[in-house]
Amino acid sequence: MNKEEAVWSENMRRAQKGDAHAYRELLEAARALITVYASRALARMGIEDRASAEDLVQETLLALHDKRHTYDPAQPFMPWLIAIARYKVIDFGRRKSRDRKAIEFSLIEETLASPVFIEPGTDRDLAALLGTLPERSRRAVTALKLEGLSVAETAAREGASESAIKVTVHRALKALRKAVRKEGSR
Amino acid sequence: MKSTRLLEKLTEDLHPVSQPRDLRAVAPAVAVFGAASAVALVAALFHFRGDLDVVSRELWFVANLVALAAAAGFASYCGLVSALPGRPAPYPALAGLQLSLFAFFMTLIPSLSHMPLADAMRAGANPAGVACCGLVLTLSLIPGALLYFLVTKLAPTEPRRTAWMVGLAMSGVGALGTGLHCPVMNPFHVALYHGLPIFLIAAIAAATGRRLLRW
Repeated sequence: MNKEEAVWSENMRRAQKGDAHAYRELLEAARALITVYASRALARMGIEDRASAEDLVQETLLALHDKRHTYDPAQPFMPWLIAIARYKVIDFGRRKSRDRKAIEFSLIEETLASPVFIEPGTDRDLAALLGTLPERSRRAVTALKLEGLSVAETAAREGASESAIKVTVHRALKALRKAVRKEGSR
Repeated sequence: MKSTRLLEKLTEDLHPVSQPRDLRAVAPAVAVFGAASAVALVAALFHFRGDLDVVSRELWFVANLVALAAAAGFASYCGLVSALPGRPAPYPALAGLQLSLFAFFMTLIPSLSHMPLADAMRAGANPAGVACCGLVLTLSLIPGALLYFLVTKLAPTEPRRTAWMVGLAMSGVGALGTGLHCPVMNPFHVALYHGLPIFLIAAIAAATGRRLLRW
């Protein structure tokens, strides 16, 4: 075991006992390593955007945190971390390829929740999805989620009660979720 | 950088965790499991079939059940080890064990040489044996659920392989139980209706493992 590996393993051992300082030091070092690993792995898959690499680093760090009890202190730390990173890279790549044609529902919700930010290309898919809704629902979702109007303002514009608008939007989002899942399973 | 905030959150959320027990400690338990199964099945044979002659004549059957017990125990051990990141499970040994099981089934065919092959197949491969397949599946559900629960508590980084081993272990236990219960001693029956479901269940587990063991 080299010196760096010994330091990592020792920090992880201490982190398992609740030492926050050692854990922070370990996470910093792990982040640097995973960033390089993830960038290279994604480049091999033909994905070269920094946001994806950053997402992957975060997913791996979360997995490291959640599964830290599975690290055996008698074993070196690096293979443990790389095995997790590798799994996350494979999972990420698989998800990416599956989602190329479909928008994830979370993205729709995020997009709908944000009146200002729509990723390039997403607006076309979004318009197509909204097109599957009945006219009244589409108007309510557009007003409330895309134009940023309040429930009261939307209700006044549509000539309906506030609770009716809430129900309509809730049902519309449910229908969108179903449509996205159907699209994703094709 | 977004992950800086994440690091702070993770550090704040840190609490002591218990370290995993070394799974090598499970190995003696597996050995005991195998030995206990062997004793149990010999006892069962004496009890249900009455005479020593049956046991000595049907030695292949006893060997089959012992091999199943060992394979199921070893596969569950491998499944658990493979769910610990960075710890290679003893796959070559497992593969050897599987191959020897196959080889064992192959040796059954010459043992039928005293009987015309068609007669033996007719006697062994009768449709009633489908009930044995169902029994293998039924008996494998509880050990399967237990192993699945244990594995999800760990971190399987090769879910398909882990699921394959969980499938082998659960169906091995199922086949062992079926062997102790089923009165048919025809090797074709055992190979077809007790042996084949092992690999079918393992294959189904492997096919669904990637989804089921995602974390």
